[in-house]
Amino acid sequence: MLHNFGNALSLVFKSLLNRRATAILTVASIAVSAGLLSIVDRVRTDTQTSFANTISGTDLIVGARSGDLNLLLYSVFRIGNPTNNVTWSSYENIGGRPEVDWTIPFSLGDAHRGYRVLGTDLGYFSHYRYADRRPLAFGEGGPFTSATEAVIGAEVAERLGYDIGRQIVVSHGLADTSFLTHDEDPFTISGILARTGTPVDRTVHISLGGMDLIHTVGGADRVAPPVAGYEPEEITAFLIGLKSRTAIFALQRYVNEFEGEPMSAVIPGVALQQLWGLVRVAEYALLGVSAMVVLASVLGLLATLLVSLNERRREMSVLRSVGARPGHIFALLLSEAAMLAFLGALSGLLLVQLGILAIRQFALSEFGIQLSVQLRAFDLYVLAGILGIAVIVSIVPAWRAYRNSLADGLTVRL
Amino acid sequence: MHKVRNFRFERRRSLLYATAICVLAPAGVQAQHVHGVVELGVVVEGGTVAVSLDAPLSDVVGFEHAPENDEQLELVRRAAATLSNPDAMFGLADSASCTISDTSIDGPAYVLEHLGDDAAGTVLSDHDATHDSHDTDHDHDEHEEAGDHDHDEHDESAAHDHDEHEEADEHDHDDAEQHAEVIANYEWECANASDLDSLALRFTENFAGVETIEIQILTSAGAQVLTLEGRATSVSLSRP
Repeated sequence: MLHNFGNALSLVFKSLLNRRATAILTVASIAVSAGLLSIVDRVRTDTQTSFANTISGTDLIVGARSGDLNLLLYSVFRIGNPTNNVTWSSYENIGGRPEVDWTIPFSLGDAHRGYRVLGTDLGYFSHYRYADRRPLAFGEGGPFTSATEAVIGAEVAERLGYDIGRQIVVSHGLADTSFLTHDEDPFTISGILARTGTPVDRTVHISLGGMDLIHTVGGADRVAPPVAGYEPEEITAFLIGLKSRTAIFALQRYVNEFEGEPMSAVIPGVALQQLWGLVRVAEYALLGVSAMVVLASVLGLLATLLVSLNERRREMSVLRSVGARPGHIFALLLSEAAMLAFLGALSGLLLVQLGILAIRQFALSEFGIQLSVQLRAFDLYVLAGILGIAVIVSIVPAWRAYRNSLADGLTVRL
Repeated sequence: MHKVRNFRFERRRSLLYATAICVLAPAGVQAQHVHGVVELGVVVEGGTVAVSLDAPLSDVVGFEHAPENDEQLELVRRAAATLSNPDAMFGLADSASCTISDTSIDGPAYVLEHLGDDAAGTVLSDHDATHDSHDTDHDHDEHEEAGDHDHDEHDESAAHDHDEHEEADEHDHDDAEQHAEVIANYEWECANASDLDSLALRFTENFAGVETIEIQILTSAGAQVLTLEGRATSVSLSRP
């Protein structure tokens, strides 16, 4: 009867069913550990991908002198705050150099209902690239054509339920509810950008002139500045695209040693590498802890199997009496461990998958991290690893069962 | 003025990275002058390879002042000869068939004046040399001048000099006046760019003071940041 593999498995399964409380607990503990390991690695890699996908095609980011990461994070990821501003003349000086192909000015510091407001020019919509050099696209409408128009990201539109033509106000500072609301300066939404999965989705874009307009104290005599050719006194930072990347280090040095004012130029990819270098320790610590949890849960499996051996002497003897050889008992125990481990790991990975589907939107909107749903190679390693370790450690109870089955007769003294 | 706005920290996003920022030193990578540390930037774009080396002069010749005796002059001469010979500095795979298309070297005048000595035929690029050496030369002259002044007379008499000095200070802060560095740019055109798997670092044999090489590599595959020890002989251009 045991010669048939399917029968053997069903026997294992039925035996487990008989002890379902412990079996389910064992499976659950393995599931939790497998899920933990899988989710830690997934968040780690997806965070890196999301960050790397946010900016593409930009050679240098220039801002007031500060740490490379600070500059990268506040300008592109809208995390943290700028240290200072850059004067327009410095921007023009650097932007006018022969090796520079295009520049995009950034003026930050205000918010609309918690979403950051970015003052920029029309070059943003034509030169900014994300993911693999994908340009921004409009889902509806088009770029701002006057200083009182705004272009909003996909998430801003969705969350706040805005449509083209809707009037919005911008508040001073970044707080959700600021006392200083520029309520006399409503902006009309002229366009909604298609979803990018980057901080662009969470940004309200207005022209540099519009940015200055809301900060000008004055009455009705204020004139709305034009969109094209408007020159503010200062901007927060700017992006540079080069005609040829070979000039990148020379230009970076030029900016860093700029005579007019202290500025920093960072290469986005290099700054991101520095960021990963910093968080790598934490990532590996998390991965290490998760791996230990997996090990602990497999040891739990081992303990359960060992404890069960004594109670199951009669079961083994019955099996022996119907023709099972000691080798079969050994294999039975191994496959039992393997089945528990497999079910545990599989349900852990499924749980992660379901969990990701559930929190995906939240992770994207709150942290800007796009979690992937497809099964990854790492998940298979987790599955195979847990299965392998479980089979190896279960050699101990299997061997013991083998020995017992040689010694015990049908009448076992329990 | 009006842009100094009411910045408030946005808590909800990425506490982890916010913590990371706080840990970071506020200086950009390129602005520092650390003895023993050479900064190397490598860009591979299409068939063009551009390498930019930024080294403290003390690592290249052993000191950071004008040569004071024949022995020091010889050291400067030798360093200048190495710098102006791209093949003595770097090496690219033979099969990539690369030819040097551009060389430009910047540094204190007492180094630059020896560039032509041994290596005739080195092309100093027009375009790079004009804008680049202008800026950096100026900077270095300033440093030197300021340094000399500090040595000889402790009050800075000339108002003109004083101004310049202050300006230089503002730029480099801790870069004390006597520091000098060498910036060398090389550019190759390669027929078989696909064979560019590594860059030989031959300069490490000649520049005894190099302890650490900080390398940034930009290729179509992305950016790579590496730190190698001063005796390293080559660096991989492909991703690990």
